[in-house]
Amino acid sequence: MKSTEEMTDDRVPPTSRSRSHAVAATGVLCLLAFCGSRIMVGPSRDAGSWDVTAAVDGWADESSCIDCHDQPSEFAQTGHAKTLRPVSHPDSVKLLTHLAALDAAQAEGTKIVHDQDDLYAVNESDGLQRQLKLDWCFGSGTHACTWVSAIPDSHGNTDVLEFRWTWFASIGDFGITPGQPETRGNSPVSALGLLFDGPKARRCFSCHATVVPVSDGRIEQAHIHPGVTCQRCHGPRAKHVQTEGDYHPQGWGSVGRMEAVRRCAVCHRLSEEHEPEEIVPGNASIVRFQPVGLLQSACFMKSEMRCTTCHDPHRPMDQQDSLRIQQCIQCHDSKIDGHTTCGAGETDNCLGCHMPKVKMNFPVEFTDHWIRVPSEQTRHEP
Amino acid sequence: MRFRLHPDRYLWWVASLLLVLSTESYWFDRSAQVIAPLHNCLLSIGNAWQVPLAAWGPIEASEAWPFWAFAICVSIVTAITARRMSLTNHAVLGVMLLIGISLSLKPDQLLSALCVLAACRIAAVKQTSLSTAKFATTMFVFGFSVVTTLEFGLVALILLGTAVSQLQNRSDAVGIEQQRRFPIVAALLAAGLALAAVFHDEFAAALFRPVNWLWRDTSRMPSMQFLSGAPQDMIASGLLGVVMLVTVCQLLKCENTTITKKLLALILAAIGLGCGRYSAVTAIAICELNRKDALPHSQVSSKLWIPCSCVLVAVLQWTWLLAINGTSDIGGSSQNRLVDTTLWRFQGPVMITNRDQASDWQTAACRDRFPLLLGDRWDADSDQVGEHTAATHDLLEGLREFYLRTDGTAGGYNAFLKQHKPVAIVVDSRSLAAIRQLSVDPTWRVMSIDSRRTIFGRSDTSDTGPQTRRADNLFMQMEWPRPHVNMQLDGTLALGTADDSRAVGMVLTAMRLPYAALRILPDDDSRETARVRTWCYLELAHRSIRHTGQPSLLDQYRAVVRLRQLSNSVLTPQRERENIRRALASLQDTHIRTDVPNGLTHSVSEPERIVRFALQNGHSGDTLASCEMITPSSVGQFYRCLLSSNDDRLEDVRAGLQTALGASGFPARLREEALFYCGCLELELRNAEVARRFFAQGHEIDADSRFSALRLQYLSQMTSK
Repeated sequence: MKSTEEMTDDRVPPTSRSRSHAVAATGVLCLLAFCGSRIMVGPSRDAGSWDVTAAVDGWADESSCIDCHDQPSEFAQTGHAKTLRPVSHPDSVKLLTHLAALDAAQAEGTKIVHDQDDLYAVNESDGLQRQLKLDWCFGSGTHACTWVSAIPDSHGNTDVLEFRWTWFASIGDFGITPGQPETRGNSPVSALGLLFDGPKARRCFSCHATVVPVSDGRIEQAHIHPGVTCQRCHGPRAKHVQTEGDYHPQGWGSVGRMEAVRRCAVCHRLSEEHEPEEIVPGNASIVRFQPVGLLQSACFMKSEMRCTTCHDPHRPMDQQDSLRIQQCIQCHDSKIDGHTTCGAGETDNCLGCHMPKVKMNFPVEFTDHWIRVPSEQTRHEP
Repeated sequence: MRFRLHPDRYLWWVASLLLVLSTESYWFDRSAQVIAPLHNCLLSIGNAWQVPLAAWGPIEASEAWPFWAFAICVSIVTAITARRMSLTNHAVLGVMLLIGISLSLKPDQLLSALCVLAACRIAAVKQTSLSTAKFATTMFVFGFSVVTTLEFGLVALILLGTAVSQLQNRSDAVGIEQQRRFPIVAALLAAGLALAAVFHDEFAAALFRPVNWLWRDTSRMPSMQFLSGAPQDMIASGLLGVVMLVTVCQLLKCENTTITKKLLALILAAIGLGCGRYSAVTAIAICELNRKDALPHSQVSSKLWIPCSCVLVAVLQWTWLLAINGTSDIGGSSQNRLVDTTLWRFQGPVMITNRDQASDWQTAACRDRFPLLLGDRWDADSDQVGEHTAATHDLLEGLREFYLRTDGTAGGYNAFLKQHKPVAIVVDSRSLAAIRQLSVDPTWRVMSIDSRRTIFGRSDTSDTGPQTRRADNLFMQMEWPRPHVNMQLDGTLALGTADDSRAVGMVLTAMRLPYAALRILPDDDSRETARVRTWCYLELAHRSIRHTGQPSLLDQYRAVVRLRQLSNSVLTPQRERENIRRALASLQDTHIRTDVPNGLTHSVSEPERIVRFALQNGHSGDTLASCEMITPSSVGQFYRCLLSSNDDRLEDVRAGLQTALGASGFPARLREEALFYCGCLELELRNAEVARRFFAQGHEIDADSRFSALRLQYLSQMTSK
């Protein structure tokens, strides 16, 4: 029995019935659309949009940058541009072939083997032959080159095995990779290198590449854009290229000083990533992280300087003005009254005392960016 | 009209009761939190609206009911609504409504459902005047909902909407007196609500809970999504969705339904379809709004087949669950289902990555000791919710250190954790990828595992360090048992039902502890246990490749065969098929390899090469024929045992291997490998001492063999102090 609220069909005019059907259909369609949108889009955010390097879309072909900009002409020679290369890169192959001449590597039975297009690190010892396929060469060679193998774990996520031997520019030869034991182990992993788990592997690639697509923990090797290139700093620029420059999102020129330093520090490290007791002058372990020392410097705190004050990231280091004192004398010119000048009487070699090169416990030197008046307490121990 | 208890009411109730009980194995013992707990989250607004009854001392101790009591109440509510729906509308809709509500209504929604049902029933009472009694009842229902639930906004919406609708519908019948009275009543009510909002800042936020989820960040609450969760939950949501759509369609088509009522139905449907949490309650409301007159008794009797079919559905549900999960501890004790965190000797803030699990930490025992950074009250979120969500994302993705996000903000969970200093991070035990990532964090270690949550704590503090070390020792002992070491599970591991054990097993496998996982699996042949076992064998197979550069034929064969079987099963979801594909690819990866260099290779016959290849790639086929061609026969038997390792009992496989080993002609080149497999089988069979002997024997025979690295690791773990 129907409710008294309802009329029987024969008392409802046809036009009224069709109108009510239309209303019902519209209402239901709207509900379905709303429900569908909630299911498809949902409240969750696209994980790919979180990490700049993992962004899926928006990347331009960087060969088109030079059409309008001069900077890319020299950029290819910079350390940033060459900081990650496939192992098959001619420079990488050339370096690896020198490993065969290293006595220490020979002593422990390690050599490099070419197999068609692949390169393998092979260790023959204890009656076994352990073999590791190398995939990438990390480092431009300005300081060093270290090779890695991207190996899947049981779920297909990407781990990295860092090769045991590193080529160091300062000695022109190979040495044990920093952080690895002096004596090799017995397993294929420990005989040939050191294993980095997934999160660490991703971190490695994200600082040496511009695009690092990650899908459920697996780094999509084929789609890595190696090297810290134009869009790593300037962001995805597909729309900028498509509009021939009409679309010009906020660039480095418009970010504040601290934000600019922070962006460099994504890879060159922030002081927040260290324990407070580590951030002391004379601690050699923080020298390689330039922003850590720079932000402690009086020069930084009392001026408007930023990383790009001394460094032009578009040009190779050996062509940088930072090797000279041009920036120092902006505030420390002996010819200008009121400027603080060197107590030791130096006028053209500021860096030697105030930003010395510090030798690490491996054959690499880094410039100490904690600009300060050196003292016995804060001088770095060799 | 006299109220008559028709027999079919019992059938409806029984069907619903059976379905509700099927959602919880330990229904006899488990408690259900019916009243929303007090809210004291650190990143929430400080003066969030609290359910007044929850703050009343005598009630606080009884905010949780026995699950069976909750089930009885829910099934009554469900039966009432579903029965009427099926008798006056369409039988199928009633059945769908019964199944949907029974499977999806949560304990904290019971009182809301009761209030909503009462509100709709009040609205449906046919009176010619807006009587004082009806008004008083309406106020009582609303007041009751304010005092006992957080969903009083929904009740207010229904009461207001139906009141306006009735006014519109009886515009000719209602006298001038009633027409004049309604605006006054409405104004008084509005003034009351406004006053409440003035006295308590967050009353309005709580009042608008049914809609403010639209613009609040609820991304870390999966229950807010419609059609989300386990397959059972998705089926329930889907059924409720269909019922709501059909009922709304009927309401919209009806000429004599007021525009207000139609609008109310649309709003309720949008709430129910847009937010999974409200599906059950809004379905009840919409069906009651479309309430029609009851059928005569004679017609009811002829429709007994409907409740009977509901009972049949419930029985089928129980049958299905028992078939999939094996014999569970039905009606047993629930004490061991969740790790008792009150046993821990520290306290401090807790960060949960699945905000739906907030209720675990808001019991009277936990609330003050372990305040949450953020709970499940989206209406009480402060502007720090975005930061919490972002940090949760980074945790689940393993993004520890500082990185730049596309919106220019700083990513990396380490900074967030340093700032807010939680003592524990709670990850949903189903988030295996996240657990795997976080388990390799240098600072955070697993403190406890149960089927619902995996809890991490800092290993470098005096608060949580001892518990992390206790957990580490337990897991290591489970993976590589050492002699004379007792295992204390309290406060670290909770296994509960067979289903719980399997869930914990998957977590241990994700942590790369497959032997520990195999140790706790129930001893049954259920599909779910077989599935977990498959992932354990994958982990074992990959471990051999990773640490020795070559596959363990025993583990590789079982892993590949089982993975393929799992992938081919129609019950395997597409997502898992993709994971299986990646897993199989990882087993075939050749980045790491170990060989015997040229000149040292032992002569291996062609049949033996074929068999080894087949074992490595999971092909059985006509491999047994090749085994027959291998000489000596002990070697053929060795390989036959390996080929049968997937089908035969482990004890039989072990016995076969030992027989082959003991045969006089068994070659020395295979002896060390066979001893390694025997040791692994003994580990699986929980005979640690025997396993140690096999590994030690293998080491004596050939200390530098291809399996030496892994064997040495096992021996060092099993003999360490």
